[in-house]
Amino acid sequence: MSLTTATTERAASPAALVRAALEGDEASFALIIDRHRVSMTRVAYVVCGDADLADEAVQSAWPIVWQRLSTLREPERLGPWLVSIAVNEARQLVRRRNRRSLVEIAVATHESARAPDPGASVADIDLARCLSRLSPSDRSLLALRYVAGLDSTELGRGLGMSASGTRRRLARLLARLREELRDA
Amino acid sequence: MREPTTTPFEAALERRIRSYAAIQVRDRSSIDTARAVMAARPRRFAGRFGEIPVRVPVPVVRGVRIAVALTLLALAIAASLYVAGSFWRRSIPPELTLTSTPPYPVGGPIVGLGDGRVLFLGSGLEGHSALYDPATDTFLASGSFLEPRASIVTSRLRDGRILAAGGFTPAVGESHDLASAEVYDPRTGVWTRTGSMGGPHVLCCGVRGTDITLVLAPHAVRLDDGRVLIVGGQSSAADLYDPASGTFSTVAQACQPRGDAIKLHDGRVLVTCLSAEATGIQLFDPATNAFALGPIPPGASVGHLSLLTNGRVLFAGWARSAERAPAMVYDPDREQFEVLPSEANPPAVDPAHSLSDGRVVFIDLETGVVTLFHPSTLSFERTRLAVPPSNGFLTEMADGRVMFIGDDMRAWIIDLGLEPQ
Repeated sequence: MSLTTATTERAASPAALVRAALEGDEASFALIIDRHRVSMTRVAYVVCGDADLADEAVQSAWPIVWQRLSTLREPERLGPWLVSIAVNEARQLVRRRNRRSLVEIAVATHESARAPDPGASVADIDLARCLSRLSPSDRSLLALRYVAGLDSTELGRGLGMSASGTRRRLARLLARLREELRDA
Repeated sequence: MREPTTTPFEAALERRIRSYAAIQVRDRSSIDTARAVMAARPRRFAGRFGEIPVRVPVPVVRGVRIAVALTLLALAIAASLYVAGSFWRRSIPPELTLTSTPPYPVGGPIVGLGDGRVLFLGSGLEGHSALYDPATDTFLASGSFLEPRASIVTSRLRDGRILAAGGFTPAVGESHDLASAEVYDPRTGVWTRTGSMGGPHVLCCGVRGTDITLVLAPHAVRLDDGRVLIVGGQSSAADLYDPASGTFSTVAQACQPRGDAIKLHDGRVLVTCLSAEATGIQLFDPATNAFALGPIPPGASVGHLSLLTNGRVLFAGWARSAERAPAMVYDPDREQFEVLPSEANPPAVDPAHSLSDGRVVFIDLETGVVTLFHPSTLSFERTRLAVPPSNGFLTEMADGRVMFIGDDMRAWIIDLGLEPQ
């Protein structure tokens, strides 16, 4: 994959982009960033509840992506691999901030981040409350499952668990959220 | 392809989470980011990926040569690490997941009660606490903060009660810092209000690029006379809590504490002070209720202080955002530092725990690496957990093993070779 091909062929496969990036093609790496930064940021946002923190998590993920790119054995899985790294970075940032003002920041930044919708805001506040009560690892599970759309096997890889363990944990989490959102 | 949602609730939840996550992502130049990342950290093995799918057959003789060379290289590395006193143990401690869970979400600090039981403090809107007994693996609901608070500083008082001070209110939309404090009595499971500090001592949001947990977290140290010294966080002054009267008094400091604090054998408290330029220490003397500057450390250690059984203090840890700094051992009697090899110094991660036999264990929450410091030989030893744990609490069990309880409710049983109690 040459630089020219990578930059002009917007439909370049993940494998081709990864290979070209590893050969030092800045444009290919930029294309990877361009394709995935939005999904990574949104997944990170569910984990940390703060738009600025999510952006910071994704920015700090790119050097890690670059350093570990050669270890990606299945480049078709580039997307799940990238969101897993973003989730880990978001968890680290949350941990370092000692879970400070998660709910407060989540609501404020969320409302300011898009057009006002009173009904949606109330639902989002309820959801933000519920998310804030979960551990970062549970929020990671929800983000990877419902925002990134990972299956149980990919979830297990991203969270260091088995696929069956991931399904059990998700089932427990859903039962808990069902109760909490009903009460909200 | 992901499995389809199985219930209407799950489908609705997915829509709500997707809607919640649909924030406006900051517009950045992808090519600028790519250039910056690739220029800052050039890959050592660029192009290696391209060789993998090709699968060029390697001649047998060449393969044997490569294997021999790699084996010799591995032996040389292992020998050098062994000689340096820092080597990787093969054992991977088994993981134990707690079979019970708290009756409600907690999420705050985890505090040992001194009798094996562990108090999980709440950090949410309700401020519920839960008491965990490792012997029976059970949780009991145990009181709630009078004023829900998160990011607090805690200390176990001499009579077994728990002081929880400062923090901020986790209220939706209007969070504010708290200078007030509460005391938990494990016999009744009830929180009661006590005095208020001169400042909130709350963990500050810090400066990006620095390890804020290390730099700006407050610390509480119980003195020999039962009082508690609280330093760090956003307050410029220290606060001294007297459990007998339930009041705080403010103490001026010799420097701005940012790092860690620990009580020495002679009763004084050593506090590290950091600035952009240097590391310093100050010493609080309970006899005079005053701070004085101590000698300047030769290295820029920013991590943990651990009191060794011989009365000396281990300065360990270095900020990942800065250059690797050496570990140091400080002798309070001679007021001298001894610098240890920097390559053995673990990153400044939390938590660190002093074991009953005098060793100090550091658990890297990012990588799962467990580093064990031996005070007798001033050397480090390492092992690795299969999956990095979340922040948590370490407690020694009756059979000599160590249980590390993460705040994600996973527990690790680690055999560090302690004698059974």
